[in-house]
Amino acid sequence: MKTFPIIRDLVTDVSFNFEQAKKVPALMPPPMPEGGYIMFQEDVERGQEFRKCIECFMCQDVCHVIRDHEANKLHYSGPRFFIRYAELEMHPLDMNDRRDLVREEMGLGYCNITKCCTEVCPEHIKITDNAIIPLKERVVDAHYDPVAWLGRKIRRKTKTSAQDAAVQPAP
Amino acid sequence: MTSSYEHHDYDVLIIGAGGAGLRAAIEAKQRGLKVGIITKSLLGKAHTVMAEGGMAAAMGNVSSEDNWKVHFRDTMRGGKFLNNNRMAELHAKESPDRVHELEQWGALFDRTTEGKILQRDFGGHRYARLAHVGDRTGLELIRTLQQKVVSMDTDVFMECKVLKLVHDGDGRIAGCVAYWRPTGEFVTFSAKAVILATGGAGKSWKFTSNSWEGTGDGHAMALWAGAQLIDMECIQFHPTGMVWPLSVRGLLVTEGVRGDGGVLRNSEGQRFMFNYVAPMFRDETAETEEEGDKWYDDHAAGRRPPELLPRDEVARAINAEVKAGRGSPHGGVYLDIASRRTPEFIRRRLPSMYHQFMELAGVDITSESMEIGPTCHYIMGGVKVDADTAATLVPGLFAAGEVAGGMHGANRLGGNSLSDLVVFGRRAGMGAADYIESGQAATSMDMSEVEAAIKDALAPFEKTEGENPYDIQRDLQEMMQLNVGIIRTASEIEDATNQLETFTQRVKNIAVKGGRAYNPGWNLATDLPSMISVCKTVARGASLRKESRGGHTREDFPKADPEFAKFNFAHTTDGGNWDSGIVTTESPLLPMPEELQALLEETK
Ligand SMILES: Cc1cc2nc3c(=O)[nH]c(=O)nc-3n(C[C@H](O)[C@H](O)[C@H](O)COP(=O)(O)OP(=O)(O)OC[C@H]3O[C@@H](n4cnc5c(N)ncnc54)[C@H](O)[C@@H]3O)c2cc1C
Ligand code: SF4
Ligand code: SF4
Repeated sequence: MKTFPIIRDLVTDVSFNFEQAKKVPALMPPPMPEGGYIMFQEDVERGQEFRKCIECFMCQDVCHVIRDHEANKLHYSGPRFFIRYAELEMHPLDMNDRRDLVREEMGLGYCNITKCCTEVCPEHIKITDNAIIPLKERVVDAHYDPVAWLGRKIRRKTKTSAQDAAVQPAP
Repeated sequence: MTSSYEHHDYDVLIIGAGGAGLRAAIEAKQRGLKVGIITKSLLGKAHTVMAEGGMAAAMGNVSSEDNWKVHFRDTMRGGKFLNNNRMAELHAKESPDRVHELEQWGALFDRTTEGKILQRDFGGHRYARLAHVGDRTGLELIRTLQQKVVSMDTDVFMECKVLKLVHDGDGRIAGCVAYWRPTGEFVTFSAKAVILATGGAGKSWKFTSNSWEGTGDGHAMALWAGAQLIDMECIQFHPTGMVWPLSVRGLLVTEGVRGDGGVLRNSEGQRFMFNYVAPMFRDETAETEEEGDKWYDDHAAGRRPPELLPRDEVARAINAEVKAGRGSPHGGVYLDIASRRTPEFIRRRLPSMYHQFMELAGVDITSESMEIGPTCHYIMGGVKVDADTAATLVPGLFAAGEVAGGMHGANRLGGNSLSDLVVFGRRAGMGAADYIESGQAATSMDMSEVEAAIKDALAPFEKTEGENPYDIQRDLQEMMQLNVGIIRTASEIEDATNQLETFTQRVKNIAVKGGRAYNPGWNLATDLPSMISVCKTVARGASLRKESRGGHTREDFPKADPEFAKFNFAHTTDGGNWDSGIVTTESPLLPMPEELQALLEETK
């Protein structure tokens, strides 16, 4: 490995990932009941798979959308952050709705499910099958299904939009 | 103040991005302050990430009998009563709230069948008390705090190593001087308050579970800045580190293996822990294997197996078995879960351990025993702080997490660290904010201190011939392992004390080649002064404490002596430099209020 230039690259890549991390709207749970939240193992397991992520960013490095087109970095967050969005979307307590954000700003549509990310993940997280594909399905529902769309409009009374919720109120 | 270095200015500056540092940042940020965090590695990679077993909090989800009083008593007994009792009290009372708070920030703990947070058994805890996520609880903790910090838009300086704290003209802490590891360029930070959250110091021992970060920088910087270090002789050797292959010797095997049914055997296949139950623990420990085995399924059916005694007890027992010639081929003993639980159970409950042994040692723990032995793990000693505010004796300087002393006394119970980080990380954030609001904070840095620190840091480049820092580090680790390791004796400690003077001279004679950008030799050269200062206080404490207590065992004084249970040894320097002399005094323990005293007696 040639030392300096490559290391510089690495440094920029890592900062790209930290920039992406800043864009993720935090979890928004309802107020905690006396004695703590009730969630069942089955409900938390899906999210736990994604939280195994050790942030090695190998999936980010292998994803062709990021690798081949520098310009994509502006509007594509990459597999590490797709699993983060999926985890929050599937969180039993979350009242946030990030689907517009995922579609419009995180560039989920650019992913063409090559599965390279899943193959390199050292934690064996099924990034494509368990996060990206379900996320794509949810986003599509949200966008094109008028009933779901209407439902969402109504529910917005209780759900803050992703943008509004970027900073979570301190519990 | 003019400065030719890159400069940043904050209200609260936090050194360390482990659990304690991140929790402190959240608190200070919520008080509306400008907060900066510095880490010498990357955000999300601190030591905290390696914690496996869990986080202790008396929520009573599994054993409804549990409450803060029992947790307090367990912590004090585990610490052999050297603890700061106010810290132990606050910790026991506040940790359940801190766990729930993590859940509100996105942590997903394992659940009971009723949907509450599941709690697991761990050594020294009377009831099942550790909230956990499989065997990757530290990752969950750090990720949750990191995501919270990032969502609050806090500045994080990564790969930036702090060299020294800087005062104002009046002895208050006013900031620090650091350098960027990637470029070697210096940078100064001024702040109204500085919180040390730099973690541990285990890297000065040969066999250690600590990573390259654990060089005790924060301990040393506090000492040099005028704060006191207490209980430095109390070092926890975790009973179960890998002993083989050599390249990973010291790597931790979680206590969860024993909590889930794993037992220790010697080369004769005997469960030897039954022979090592100290009188203090006899009432609550099983007498036979049958009784101990019943306990795993039904805690009311039998008392706890002796494999779950506090860590110092187990580590000493293993040491004794190996010394008696009943060890395993690589100098450890056997940890056996294969003969006791099904492969499915083992893989589900202990996935990281299964992978660790498979990948690193080629051992399938579902069918074979693990070879394990004691490894340097945690330093109970640290900066003396006020329990409620985490303030040190130096105005403007706060400390929380492993770098702070007092909470764990002479020995820490497993799981009590992760909860310590969030309880006292939060309190440090509050303490720093209150201090700033009081209007007493420093406003300018003494630039001569900055220049002096930079001059020291650059000294290794001025020599063309000299010592190699790697040789010094290796020799220091060997020396400390041998002379101030798990079992100590007067002659060896004296030898260590003398050798540390030689090491001081060797460090002054280091020569480093190359540029400052990403120069690991130089990075290490800047770690060594901290390591030496820490080792000196450890050796000093070890020589003065002429008794055995918790993480300090003297072969020549094998018993605990009540006279030594009245104070902590407290160290300062006589010059504020890394090579200054160490001055040691006896610092009386905090008097214990009667209500707390009563708890210890009533639940004995
Ligand atoms: C393998 C292992 C397993 C463990 N398991 C458990 C467990 O199950 N339960 C439990 O309660 N405890 C456990 N512990 C103990 C616990 O993890 C640590 O005590 C705790 O994480 C320390 O946290 P901290 O926030 O104090 O510091 P750390 O997490 O160690 O973080 C220190 C931070 O300070 C930074 N830093 C240090 N020096 C400098 C410097 N000079 N300049 C800039 N930055 C600096 C580092 O970069 C890092 O960000 C375990 C420890 C290990 C090693
Ligand atoms: S599946 Fe999608 S995210 Fe993963 S590597 Fe392929 S394009 Fe990138
Ligand atoms: S490869 Fe896996 S572990 Fe690494 S960042 Fe991606 S999801 Fe996380």
